[in-house]
Amino acid sequence: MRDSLLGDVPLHNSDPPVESCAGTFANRTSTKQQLASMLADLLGLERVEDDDNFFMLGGHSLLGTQLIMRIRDTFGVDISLRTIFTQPTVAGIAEEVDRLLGS
Amino acid sequence: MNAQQAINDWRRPPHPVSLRTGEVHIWRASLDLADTDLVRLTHTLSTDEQVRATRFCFGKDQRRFVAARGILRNILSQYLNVGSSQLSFSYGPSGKPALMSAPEIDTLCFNLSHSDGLALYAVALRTEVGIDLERIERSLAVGRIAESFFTTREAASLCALRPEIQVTAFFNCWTAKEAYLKANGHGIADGMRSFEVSLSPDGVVSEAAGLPYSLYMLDTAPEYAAALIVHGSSQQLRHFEWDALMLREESGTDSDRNEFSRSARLLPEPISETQHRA
Repeated sequence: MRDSLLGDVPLHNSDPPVESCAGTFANRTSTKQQLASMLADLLGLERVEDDDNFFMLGGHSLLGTQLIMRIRDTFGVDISLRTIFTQPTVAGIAEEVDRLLGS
Repeated sequence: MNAQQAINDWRRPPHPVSLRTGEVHIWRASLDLADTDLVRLTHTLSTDEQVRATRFCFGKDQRRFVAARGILRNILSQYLNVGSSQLSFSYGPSGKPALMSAPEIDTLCFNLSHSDGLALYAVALRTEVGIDLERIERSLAVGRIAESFFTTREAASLCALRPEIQVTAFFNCWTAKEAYLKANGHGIADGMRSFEVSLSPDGVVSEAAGLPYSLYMLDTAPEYAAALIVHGSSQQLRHFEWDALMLREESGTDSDRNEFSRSARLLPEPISETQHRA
C-alpha cells in the first residue's frame, strides 16, 4: 500500500498495518516490552515493536498525555510531552524511562 | 482578551475567493475522500510530503495525511492563483508550516488541524493564526490530565464544574491552549501552562487574560471542540466548506495561470482607520 501513494493505484479503505513497522524483537528490555504493550493497548493494536513511532501509529498530543499517565502509574516516573515528540519510538521513550529510573 | 463564541454558518466560498486584511477565513473539510480525489491530491504533494505519508503505519492515517495536505494546497492555491503542486512549505522549529517561494506569498498566513476525519484550516493576511480541532473523547480521564498539564487554577475550575460538562470543558480548554501555542509557532510540548484560560460555569473558555490575541471558540461539528487564536484585535471570521468539486475547478484552470496573476486574489488592503491611528 505504501507504494500506491506514488502511483495511480488508489489507496484502500481497509486498515491493516501497511507492512511490518517493526524493528527487531531480540534483546528487548523489560521497559521496552512493557512500553510496547502499553502503547498497543492505548492505540488499540495487537502488537507494537521497538522501532515503531508513536505518531506514525496514529498517536497525537492528547494520546501522548495518556501515555504519560500510564507510564507514571506503571513505572512511577514522569516523562515530559517533549520526550514523546523528540524520541517518539518505543525504544526512545524506554530510554528516557530507564534514565529516570536511574538504571 | 475575551473569547468569542463563533456561531458558524459554513458555506461554499465564492469563486474566486478573496481575502482582506482583518478577515480570517476558516475552512472545514472532511478527510474521508473518494479514492479518485485522493489520487488527484497525492499528485499535488511534494516528494517529501509523499514520503512522509508512507511513514504512517496504517492506511487510514496515510489517507488522512494526504487529504489534509492536499486540501491545504488546494485552499491556498485558490487565494494565490497558482497551481497547488507549485507551492512549497518551510517549517518552523516545532514543525509549523509556512509558505515559501514568491515574496507576495509571505503575506498569506495559515494554520491547520485535523482530528479523526475532520480538518480545519485558518487563512489570514499578514497575521499569525493558530487553530486546533479535537474530537471529544468521552472516556478520557480529563481530571487527571488537567492536573498534570493545565495550571492549578484551570484544573480546579474544571473540577468545580458539573460532572456532565467537564469533558467538553476540558476539550474547550485544551483546544484554546493548543491553538495559542500553534499561533506562536510553539509545539504543544513547549508548555500548556505558559498561559491561562478561564472557564465559564457552562464550560466555555471565556477569557485568556492579558494577551494581545483574539480567541474564538468554533462550533464545527457535533462531538468536536475547536479554537482559533489570531494575533491582534478582533477579526471578521468567514466560514467555508471545502468540497472535492474544487479539485476539478483547479485542474480546469491550470492553463490560465501565469506569473503576473499570482497575487491577483490577495486584494489591496482597504484603508484602515485602526492602522492609521497606530
